[in-house]
Amino acid sequence: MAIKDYFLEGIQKGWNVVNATTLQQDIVIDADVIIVGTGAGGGTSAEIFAQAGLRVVMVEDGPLKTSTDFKMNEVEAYQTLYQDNGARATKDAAISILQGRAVGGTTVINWTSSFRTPTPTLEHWSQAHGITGLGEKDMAPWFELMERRLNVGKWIVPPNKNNAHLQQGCEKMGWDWKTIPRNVKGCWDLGYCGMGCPTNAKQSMLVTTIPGALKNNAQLIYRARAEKFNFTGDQVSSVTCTALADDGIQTTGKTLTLRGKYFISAAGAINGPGLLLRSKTPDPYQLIGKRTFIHPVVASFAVMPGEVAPYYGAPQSIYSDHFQWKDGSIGPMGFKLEVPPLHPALTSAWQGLHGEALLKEMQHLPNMHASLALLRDGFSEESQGGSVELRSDGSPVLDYQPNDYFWDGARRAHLAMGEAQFAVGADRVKPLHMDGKYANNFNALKTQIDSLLYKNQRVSISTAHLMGGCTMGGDEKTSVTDNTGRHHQLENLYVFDGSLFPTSIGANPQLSIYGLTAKLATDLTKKIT
Amino acid sequence: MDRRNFLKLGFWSSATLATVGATATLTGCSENKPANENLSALRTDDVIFLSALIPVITKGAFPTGKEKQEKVDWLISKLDSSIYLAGPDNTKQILQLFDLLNMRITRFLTTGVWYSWDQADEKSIEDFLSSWKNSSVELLNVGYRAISLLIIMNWYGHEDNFHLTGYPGAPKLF
Repeated sequence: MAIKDYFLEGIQKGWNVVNATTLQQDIVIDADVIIVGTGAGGGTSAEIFAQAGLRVVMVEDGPLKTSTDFKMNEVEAYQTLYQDNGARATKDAAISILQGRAVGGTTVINWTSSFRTPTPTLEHWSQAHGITGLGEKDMAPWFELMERRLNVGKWIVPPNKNNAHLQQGCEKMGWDWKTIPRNVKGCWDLGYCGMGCPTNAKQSMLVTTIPGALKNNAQLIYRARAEKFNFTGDQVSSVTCTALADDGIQTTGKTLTLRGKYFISAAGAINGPGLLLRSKTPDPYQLIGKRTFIHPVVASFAVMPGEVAPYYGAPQSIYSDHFQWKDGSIGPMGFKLEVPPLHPALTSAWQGLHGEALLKEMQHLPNMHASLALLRDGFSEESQGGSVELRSDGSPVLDYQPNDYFWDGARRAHLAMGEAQFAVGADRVKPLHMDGKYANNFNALKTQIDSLLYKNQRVSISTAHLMGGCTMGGDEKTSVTDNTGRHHQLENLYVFDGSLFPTSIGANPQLSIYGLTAKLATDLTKKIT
Repeated sequence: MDRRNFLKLGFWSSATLATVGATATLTGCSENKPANENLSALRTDDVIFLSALIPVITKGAFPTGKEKQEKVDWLISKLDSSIYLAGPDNTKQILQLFDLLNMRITRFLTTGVWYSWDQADEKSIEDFLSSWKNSSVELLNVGYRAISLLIIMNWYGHEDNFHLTGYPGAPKLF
């Protein structure tokens, strides 16, 4: 008995799916709506447009990988489902970026955590960024719609040990904690969400909205890279795409020209602004790519006396917002506490060691527990985010420079995580830092952290949440799109993805993207049908 | 002037190192074609360099007997894939880093290793890795991480090596 591969079955039933690698000549396609990118925003809006009877073409530069392909192997997953083979990083390589590249986008490789945009975030957007119509009451029905669509619910299975240690640590420290809602249906509690869900339990775009669009006569073209939008006056007339070879690196020499009445940029933060920059999209105030936010992540590793098996079980089921808003929205940097799943390749990369010293530590993998602090960037004036620029070959790269405001938050986060880990009985704890060493008790850890250099390249920083770069807002001097997601200077170009956010979210962003783009796409559909 | 003073001077700024690396590539100091038809990115000198690094970076976890060469060859092809699939810009950057390490003068100044990599002893390689890891020159930190992570992730991430970490592997679904 094999697991049903709904996507491949759909193709067999006649879904309009094209692998651009196989094109024998250049093609031109006409449709009502052209959507670049098939991640959280692209998938959500494609289904809404297609259900309304519009002719939709979705174009994606990643491969089509379905449940049959998901083998629960890290190295293979990084190579096939992640941007740059999992090696994407900021310009100076100081921050590692985990972002998806496949039909379904990052939703195929995320860890299922689904949070509504926090109310303080929505309030801050209204007060500080001229955003209107997106208050808590305005957004509630859209979150509810997408929570139902994607089966989002509180995870009722007991947390795995890795998460339970965070939960118990919070209890010991007197910090509030909660269970994480997850977008899963019939989840087997395996723990391999980050490598593509092999059972189709994770309700990613791949198994929900993209099939929904395809069932309503949408077309999906994958392995086609959108190079640039073409303009006639203040309208986009087409998007020029390049067909990619099987390996996703070489091109085949074939070109696709997609013409439409409306164009949706949904390639996500980094790639979306990259596309707009390559297109030389009107940008009178030089905003495209600026204010890109990442929830920079710092981590703390613990070796526990008992088995943790951090590689099995739902990867994220417990979180704490104790430190997220305690100094308000714009005080010292707040952070959210969660845990990461630990499999051999990623864990070995995080140790900052090699040779026998590394092997000695890796032998403790079954007893390892780690916490993450996702720092909330973009709210304070002292946190302006990074900016996306183009390399000489036209590919986008994010330049993000941590500053003292961040280093202060990172240090506080390392201390908090370490203290909680010792409180639940860790044998030893170390902050993820190139000079970090295991400490046997909290006093030793605190002494170490107080003397560590918090500077670029020394602190281990990563991100899996890319937001901003095409900020939305009422004032064109400070935003790329208006409050409907429409580009301020172009009549028929909309941005429906996480690059709209004027700040980071302060929570794992997928549901924020679903809710916002569902609202904006529905509003646009009403306008044009 | 000795090597340590060069490094302390901060002479080797990121820009300088990157330029030297790029120059090496441009002037053809290194042959730019992949070493053989089975490789997509790595050139002959890169294969020599990585073959010397692999046993040091995976020491204790890597076979030392007659299986060794076969495993080195196998891992080299995995590293080659990793570098190629990381995309043209990342590939270019890492090959430029290798150029720096393959040109005798820049190799000596940045790593202390004068002789070619296949003649370097374990201690020299260890010292070079340590100095890059602890250097105040950011590019060398990046270089340490790029080289060590490439090898480490591909080695520990392979199912033949799961037993080294006690990881039982992915569950069988049926």
